[in-house]
Amino acid sequence: MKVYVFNSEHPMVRGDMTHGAGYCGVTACLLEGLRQLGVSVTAANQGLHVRQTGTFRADFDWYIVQRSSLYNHAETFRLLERHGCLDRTAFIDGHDYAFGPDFFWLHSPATYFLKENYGEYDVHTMPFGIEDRFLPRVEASDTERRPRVMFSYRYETHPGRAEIRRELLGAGLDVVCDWIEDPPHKRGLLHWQTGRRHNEAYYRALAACRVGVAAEGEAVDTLRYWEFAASNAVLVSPRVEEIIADFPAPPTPDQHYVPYCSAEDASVAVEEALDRYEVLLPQQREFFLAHHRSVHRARRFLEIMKRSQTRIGEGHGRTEVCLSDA
Amino acid sequence: MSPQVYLFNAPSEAVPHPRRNVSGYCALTYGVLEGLHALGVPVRCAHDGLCARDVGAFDPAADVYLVQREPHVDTADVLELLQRHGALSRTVFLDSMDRRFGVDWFWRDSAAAYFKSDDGQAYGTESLQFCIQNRFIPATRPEPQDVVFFVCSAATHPERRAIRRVLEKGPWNCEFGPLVDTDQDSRYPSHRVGGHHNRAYYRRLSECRVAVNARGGAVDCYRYWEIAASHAVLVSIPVEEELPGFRDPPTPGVHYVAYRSPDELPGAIEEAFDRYDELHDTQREFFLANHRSRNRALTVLNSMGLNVPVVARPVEETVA
Repeated sequence: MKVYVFNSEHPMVRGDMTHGAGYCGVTACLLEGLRQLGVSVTAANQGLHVRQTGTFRADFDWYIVQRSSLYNHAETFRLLERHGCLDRTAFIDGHDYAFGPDFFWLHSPATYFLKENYGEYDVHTMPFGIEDRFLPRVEASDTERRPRVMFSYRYETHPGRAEIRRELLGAGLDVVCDWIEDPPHKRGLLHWQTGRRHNEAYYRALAACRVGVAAEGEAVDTLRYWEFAASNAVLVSPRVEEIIADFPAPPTPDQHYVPYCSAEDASVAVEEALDRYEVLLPQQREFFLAHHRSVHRARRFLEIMKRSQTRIGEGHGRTEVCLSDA
Repeated sequence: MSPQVYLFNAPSEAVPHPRRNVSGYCALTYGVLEGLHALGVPVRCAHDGLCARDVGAFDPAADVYLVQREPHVDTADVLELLQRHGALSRTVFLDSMDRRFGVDWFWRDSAAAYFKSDDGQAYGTESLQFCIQNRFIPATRPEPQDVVFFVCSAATHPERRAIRRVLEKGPWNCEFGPLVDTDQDSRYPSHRVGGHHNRAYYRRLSECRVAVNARGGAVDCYRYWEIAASHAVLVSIPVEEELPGFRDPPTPGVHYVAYRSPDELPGAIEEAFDRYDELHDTQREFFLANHRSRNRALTVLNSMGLNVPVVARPVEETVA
């Protein structure tokens, strides 16, 4: 099986690392998983999890187009349309809710995968997942891992985050809430490849925590959620599986993580996570690592693409927006 | 004869969202709409909203079509409709989204004219900055106070926090807010202006001698135009330098006082205080002559090859 990816050009290539990033957490996770499944992936541009780059040809089995604000995917759309490839194309939209869907792709024969899916549109849900880099590399010893809570965020992205921080600190919990950043001399290639989202100092600090509190920012599905799920800290989170429509392999609250509904509930949920740490952590890790790693996202992707292809063959394709003379 | 304009605006009511409300307000679109009214150009709108006086179905005979970019409103359907009617070359796409939204590539590559408020030339589009809407213009001139006005959300750009620290350390009296109106106090329901109209804010702004504009989610932000229309002297980053294609750019030191980094701010504020009377007059004369909503409407009409005579009309709505 051969897949071609129209990924966004990486800023490392342009030498401009300050103006946007080519990174998309959904696409990156998918590419890692496809590679692990042995799928041959050719990418338009260099980037994270890209082993081979090349130019477009019309004979690939599937095409993946990564949504990026900085990348002209209208051109890509017309190229694929011209070569009759749109019905073999997946549009990967890892954007937060504020961006809305891309309606042109939504109306096309392409299969639309959306991270932040609230069930408003005819799309397939593709949440972030656990990339291998999230897995703890060094196990913290029991003496190092204190009843500490990870809650290090950009607080401006949602008013609820500041409220939760106040609640946790007010409850007398040991909370890591300062922004953690690698010093400039330690920022490696991965730091830039992930749009400055990879941060060794943060992962080290997380390894010393027993609880990680996920909180809504500009999206409900945040990278933090998946980082905590893969870590040795118990995940305390809103019920993301109930908020995101068609969430694949949903976790069970109180079994695979501890849920909270409001800022006022957060400290109680953390106390529960600390009390039940020894029981919850193995269940959480077993569940999330069995269902939500990059390889699982890749399998889901391939299954949906095969189903979509069958439906189109049976005449169930979506209405096409024709832009050939636009 | 006046051209007929049809506007595909977004509904001003909040777009339903399971997690938070999203307003259909776009300052660029409503600036142009207000300006068209001021020029006596009839406009039919797809939806009710601020300045929408005539709401009705698509008119295939309109001379000009305006399309507002709003991420949750389907403009792919609109593009297809206009294409079907051979109207794309008579269409203007108005994009006021901040930098992180990039451009809508499908519209940018279409036959429509594309105007963008922030960083437009980076994407090969025309620039069209926000403007002074009538509601920004104070109806009265209160006695000025020696206060520096810096009321904005600190969250949207790290430089805002640095500026706040500079102001807190300085010798000036500062107004940092928050200044909050309720819907009952405001002339406009909050959702109609995306929560951006605030009578208490405008009143306090015009009592201050100096007001600071800073980069936020975008370089072109409302604060700049609100201050330019007020009785406070504008102290700002040189927006006209950062946004190539800025039409009728102001001259630093003449129409406002420029600073390029927080370190330069104290000197800029002192200059604004020292030259208040002179700068206040030149600033208002310049900005009100060149950057009101009717100036933006003319730019849009002229881009379509339509020359509309400027009709001097009285200010219809000002801040009480």
